[in-house]
Amino acid sequence: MIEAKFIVERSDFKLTVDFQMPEKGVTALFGQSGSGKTTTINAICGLVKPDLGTIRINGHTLFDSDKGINVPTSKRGLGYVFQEGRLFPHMTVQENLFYGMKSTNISIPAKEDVINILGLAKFLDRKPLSLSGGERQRVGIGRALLCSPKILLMDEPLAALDVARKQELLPYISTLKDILKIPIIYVSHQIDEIMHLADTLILLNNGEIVAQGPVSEVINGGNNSSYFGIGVKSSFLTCTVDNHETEARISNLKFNGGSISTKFIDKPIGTKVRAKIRAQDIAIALKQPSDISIANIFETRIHSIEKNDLDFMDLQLKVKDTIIWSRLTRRSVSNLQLTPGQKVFALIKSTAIEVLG
Amino acid sequence: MLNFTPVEIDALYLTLKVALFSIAICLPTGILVAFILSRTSFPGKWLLDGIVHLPLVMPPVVVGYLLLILLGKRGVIGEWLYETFNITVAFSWTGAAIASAVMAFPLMVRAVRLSIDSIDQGLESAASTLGANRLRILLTITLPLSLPGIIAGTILAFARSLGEFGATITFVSNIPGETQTLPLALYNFTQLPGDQTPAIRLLLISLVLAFSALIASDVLARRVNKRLGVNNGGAR
Repeated sequence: MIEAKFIVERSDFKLTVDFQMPEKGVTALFGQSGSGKTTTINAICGLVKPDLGTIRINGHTLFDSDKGINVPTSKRGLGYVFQEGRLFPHMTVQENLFYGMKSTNISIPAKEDVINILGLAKFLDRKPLSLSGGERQRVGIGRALLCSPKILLMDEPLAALDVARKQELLPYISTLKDILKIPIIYVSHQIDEIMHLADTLILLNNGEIVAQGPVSEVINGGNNSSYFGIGVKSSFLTCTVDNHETEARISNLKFNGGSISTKFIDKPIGTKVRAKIRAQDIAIALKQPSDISIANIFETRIHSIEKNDLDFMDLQLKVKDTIIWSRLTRRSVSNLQLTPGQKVFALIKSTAIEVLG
Repeated sequence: MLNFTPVEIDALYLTLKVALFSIAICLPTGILVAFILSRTSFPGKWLLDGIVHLPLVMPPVVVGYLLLILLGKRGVIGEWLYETFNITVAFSWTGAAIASAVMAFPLMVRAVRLSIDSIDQGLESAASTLGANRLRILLTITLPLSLPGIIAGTILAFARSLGEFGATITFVSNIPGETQTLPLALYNFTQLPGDQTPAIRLLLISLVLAFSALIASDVLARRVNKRLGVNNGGAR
């Protein structure tokens, strides 16, 4: 359990955070540049000293301004992956990897496992300068893991990479997230990365936490959409793979509210996945339609109707406990005379569903 | 031509000895001061910075005279040294080494400091997240990465010591076999009328010495840069 409650005050900036983090899983810190994401993790690992507050990990106090406790970074035992890699240029990949490794606890995680999972075996004797950006980040991740950290902090590890390198590195991080038994704090201003990786989301704006909770709740939640960009308003369903219809190239996923069909995904039954559906891809019908190609039809209730800046209307619908969003034109809303509380059918094309790792 | 005269051998040997001792004094203290100036802040730092650079802007004769006042047998520190330890540096080769060291010190500090300044402090933070304490960071990150500057500073200081004249002659005089280094011997010969051969021979020796130092520094710098994984010629 990570408990952080502190204030960092600078002449032109004030950061106030108060959050708790579970012992496992990925917690994303999301916000625009200057919102205080990096300062938050720097304070957790001791590179920035808060002016006030406490930081505790598993009941162990790392910082307490009242008691005058400030454990130095080198003794906090946290792994840090930096945006720019920060590999030591005068050392080989191998020397970088083993820099923080203590001879006493090399077993967890085992040296070879880290090297294999991150695919580093063939670079061990090379110098960082001769590696690509993505390869350098993998070394940076391995280096942090090999000192057996209690938490892994990642500061926008993909931000300095081009799209191709991002696509190359993302699967490695996804794999780690499933294997590692330690919590990860993942800083990013790319909502796509967060949807791929995070379980919990902390939304920062101007040095303050504006929302925190499970990723789908925070992103689907009504008041936060402006932070994620209104053009990409989407619903997120946390699902498990239920069964495959191999002939039809379709997979059926279960979520808290029913079952949904998507294009075939190559994952074993029982795998947890996330489905993303853009609001403009969900249509509304007053009666249950028949003779229609759309396979996913849910009986829902309109929870609220919001006007958005694009001159469309966003309908918040509830399928049991799951929130989904549908974006309609004003004409459609008035033609169908839609009002909050009304029972309607939400229609979702299987091909419009994007399944994330 | 290759048969050195006793005067030349004495001068050459003494010059090298003085320069090497001067480096031995400058190197550890220079790195320490450079590190302090680059990585710490404290009230009165400007004063330390000023004192370090003083020999660079003062006439060498003034530095030599100042050393004489401080370290001479009747000097403020010199008298105490003589009475407590029976040590005297005035008019001896150790005094020449001290004079050289003082003159070369700012060059050493400047080169090393520039080098430390240019190291990304993020690398040091990264090392601390990996569990390294300040000493380990200094030894494994800061010093190795500032090696080009340390080499450049050493060569500069060495060359400065080879050529030291004003402060040396003022502080320890021009005693053959004790304080008469190459420049001082050369000066002596130029003051004598008649045959200029001895002076020209000394000039050639000085030239060869200076060139060797330059080439050595270049070779060393290339090798270090290769090890550091950077690839930009020399570090001078």
